[in-house]
Amino acid sequence: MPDSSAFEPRIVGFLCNWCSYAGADLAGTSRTGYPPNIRIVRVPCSGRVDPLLIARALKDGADGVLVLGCHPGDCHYSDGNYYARRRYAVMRELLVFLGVEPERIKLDWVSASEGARFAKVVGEFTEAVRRLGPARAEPDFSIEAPQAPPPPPLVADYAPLAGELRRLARELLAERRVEVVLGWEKGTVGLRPLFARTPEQADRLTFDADAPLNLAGYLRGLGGKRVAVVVRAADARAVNVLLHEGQVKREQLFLIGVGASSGRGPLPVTSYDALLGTPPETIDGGLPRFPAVAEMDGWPAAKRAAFWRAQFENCLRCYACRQACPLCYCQECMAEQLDPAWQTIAIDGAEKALFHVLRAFHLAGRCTGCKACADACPAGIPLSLLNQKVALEVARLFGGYDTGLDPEKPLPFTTFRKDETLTGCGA
Amino acid sequence: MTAHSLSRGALEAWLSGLLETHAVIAPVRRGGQVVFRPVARLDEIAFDAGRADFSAKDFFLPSSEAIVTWRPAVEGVRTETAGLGRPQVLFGARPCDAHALEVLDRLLLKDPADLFYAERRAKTTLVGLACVDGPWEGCFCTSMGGGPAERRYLDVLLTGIEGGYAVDVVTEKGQAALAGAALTPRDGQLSREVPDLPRLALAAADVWRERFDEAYWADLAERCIGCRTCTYDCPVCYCFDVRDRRLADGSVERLRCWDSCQGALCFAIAGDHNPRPTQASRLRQRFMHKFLYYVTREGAPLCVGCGRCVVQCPVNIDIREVLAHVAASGPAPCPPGRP
Repeated sequence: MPDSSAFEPRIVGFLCNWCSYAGADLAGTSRTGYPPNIRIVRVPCSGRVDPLLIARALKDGADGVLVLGCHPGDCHYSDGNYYARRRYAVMRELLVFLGVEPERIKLDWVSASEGARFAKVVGEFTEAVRRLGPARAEPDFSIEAPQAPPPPPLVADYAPLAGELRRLARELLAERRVEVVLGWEKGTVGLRPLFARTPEQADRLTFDADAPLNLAGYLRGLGGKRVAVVVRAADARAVNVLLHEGQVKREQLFLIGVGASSGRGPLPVTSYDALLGTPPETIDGGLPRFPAVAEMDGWPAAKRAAFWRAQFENCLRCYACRQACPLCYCQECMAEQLDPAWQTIAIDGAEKALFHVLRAFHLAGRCTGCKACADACPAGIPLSLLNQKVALEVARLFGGYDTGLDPEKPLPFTTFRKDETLTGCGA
Repeated sequence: MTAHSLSRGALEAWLSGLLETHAVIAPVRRGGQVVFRPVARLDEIAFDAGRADFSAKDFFLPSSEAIVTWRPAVEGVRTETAGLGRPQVLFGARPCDAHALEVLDRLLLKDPADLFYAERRAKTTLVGLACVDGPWEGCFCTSMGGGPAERRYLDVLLTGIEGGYAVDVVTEKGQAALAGAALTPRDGQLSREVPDLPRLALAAADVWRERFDEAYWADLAERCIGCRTCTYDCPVCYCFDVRDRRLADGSVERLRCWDSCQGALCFAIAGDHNPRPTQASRLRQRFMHKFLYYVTREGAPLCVGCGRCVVQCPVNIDIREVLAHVAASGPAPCPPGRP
């Protein structure tokens, strides 16, 4: 009987067919020894490795995940590994933020002639994971999320702004310049979205600091209608992403900007059709400042893991975060898709964590920080921390934070630079 | 039964004893929320937390539960069915939480009974707290046949009084659970100051039927984002889905998990057909199920007025407004040709 007390890591390797798999083959035929812990999944290209496969392998019990592709410049499909590198770099940072030790995930390059290198990479990786031991984290409910200082109010006094908004909305509807004005009204608990279609309904419009969600989320459902929508800075940038992704048409929108932004500016002033409150600030284009994320980056991995486990324990998998997000608009979400089934229906810690990885990752380079997800979460999970972390890494890795500002600029995962060096990506 | 009281110290001593023999579920603070969780120590219990933000449904209809597991064994496959194990005590339930179980019993305990629910129900003792510290935002239990100090559906009702609790032993199960408690006899009437709650009329079944095709549902659904918050924090929404999953060790679990009528794919069936394709049709289903279908079939509304959905809905779709709208519309005029 083998001694089952010794920890033998389970390693999942995604190997590109043309280089790395051939490299593994060469290692085998050359009788070069390498640890048998790796279970190889042959893929056509490292670009085929959806980074969520990494998260899913870890969820399903892998102790480490290795992605191997052709050296940059050698991809048999020209550019697959350049795309893979970008996606992997962001996924790695997200997983590390969730408490996965960085040693458990690796992207590297192995060519068909590098049998010895394959053995070396697998050997070193397996040893590193073996030293870590199995991934074990218990939720720690006592760890509190770092509190960011509350944003300053958009305007000093909301009442005149709300009055101006009602006047404008009445006018737009009376003159039939739009069919609907999307804003907020007073509900039975706080403010709630209002679809004003008549000047009389427009009189119910109001606005204050606690106006929930992001009304841009309703625009796709109103496709074909001329709509005026009340947007704050981050909301307006989300509209820009929707425009960029071809989901709404600019000529059908009347953008009513409200207030100044709290620190990081919105669109250039001219992009609004009307602006109420003080003019917005301009963007400095540098790295975003997220103090709470910075603080958590400084925690030990085990503390981050324990924190998020505790947070996700409260998650109901109710999808309020996804439904509230104006940019989560897939017809069929991967979290619910049946074929292939990325996730089971279990409402347990592992599936909930995978869902949150999926959600944050799919918003990489797209999230504009409106915080509608965290607003909508009935369990009070600070979900925007995940989005902020991803936004920060996208800015750090790919140069600047300007999501939703320049509709011409390609999204970060649809482009690459051949010469970029990204953390943890290859030799 | 005789009137008793329990000092705060005696209550804690009694609960400590219960922890040895029972799984004790009680309201605890998690993040900014108050939720029911199994507790290991008394100091975890949030005694003064008010109404929990989520119901205790999870301990009767778990959000995720393996109802059968097939494990590879030396010879063939071994089939295992999960059991509850130790009996449990739900401490700190509110009268509406207990009422919710009575409403669910009507469906889930009638033949053929839901065995998993039935076992949990039989093995659980409900020790409730009267809402003399309420009401909370959204509460309307009295409109749904409950009340802030309603004892009927509990095994033991505790009412906060100076220095401890007045104890109403409602059932024999409650009596048995209190066996080790240092009860002291209490004289005199207990004056229960219970809060005034809004009274909402429940429209008759015919009225609901007449309202089925109203544009109201589409108007209401326009702001609905289609999340599942209302159904998952509801103490009586019971819909579930069943699917199998393979585990790393080669076993297969048959999972039963919460499902929600608000999910776009909830009603999707073979042939790519979805009989409730719009959010309006799904939102209407939620209210029709609660106030028409369940009333017709089980004799009670599928709602206990706990008010959680009122507070939790991200876009403030307020079940009280829906009730008021349907009732205010009054009985619809008779269609021509009918009496």
